[in-house]
Amino acid sequence: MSPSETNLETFEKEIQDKTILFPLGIPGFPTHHRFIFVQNEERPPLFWLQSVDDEKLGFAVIEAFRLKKDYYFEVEDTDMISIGSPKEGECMVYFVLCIQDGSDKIKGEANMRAPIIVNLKNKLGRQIIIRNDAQYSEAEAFEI
Amino acid sequence: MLVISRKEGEAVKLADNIEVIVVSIDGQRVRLGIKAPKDVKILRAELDPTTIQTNQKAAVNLDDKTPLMP
Repeated sequence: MSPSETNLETFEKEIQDKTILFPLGIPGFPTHHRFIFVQNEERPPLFWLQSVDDEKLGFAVIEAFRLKKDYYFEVEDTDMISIGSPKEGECMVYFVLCIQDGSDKIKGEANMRAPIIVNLKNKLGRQIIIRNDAQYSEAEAFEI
Repeated sequence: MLVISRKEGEAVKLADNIEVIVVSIDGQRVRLGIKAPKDVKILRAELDPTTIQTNQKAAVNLDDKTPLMP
C-alpha cells in the first residue's frame, strides 16, 4: 500500500475535521469512539487526532508514508472487517507519535508496529497491529 | 472467505490446535474465547499491553499540549 503524493493531499483534505468512528476505541482509551483529524498549526505535517467525546484528549499523528516513504505493512483480513474491509487506495494510514519537545525539528518516536487505519469511504478507523510486526517497533525514532 | 454461523457456546476449530468459542452474544457484541498454543500470537491491538502503554504515553492534553498521563 503506498498512495501517490497528490492523492495523499486530497485524502488528507477529505479526512480533516470529519468525525471518524473507532468502533473499538483507541487501545488504552476504549471509551473514546469518535475522533477528528485537526491540522497541527505549529507543526504542519502533523495532525491532532482529537477525541470528540473529550476535547482535551488528543494524539499527535502523521500520515505514515509522509514519515516513512518505504513503509511496508500487511494486515489480517479479520482486523479489517471491523472497518468495512477497505480496498487499497480507500484508506489512510497514520502513526501515533510521542513528541520530544525543545528542538526546532520535530523529534520523537513513532508507533510503526500498530498504525491507525482509516477507511475513507465509511469513516471508520482502527489501530491495528501489523502482521509483519517484527519488522517495526512501537517506538521508532524519527526526526523531521 | 469462509463464513459460518455459530450459536452461543458453539465453537470453531482451526487447524489442529486452535479453537474459537462463542462465549456470549449480547446485542451487537460477541465475546469470543480463543484456545491456542502459547506460540500462536493473537494480535489484537485493543488487548496488547505494548499498544495500550504506547498510546497512554502518547496521549496529549490539548489544553496545554502536555502529556495527559504523568
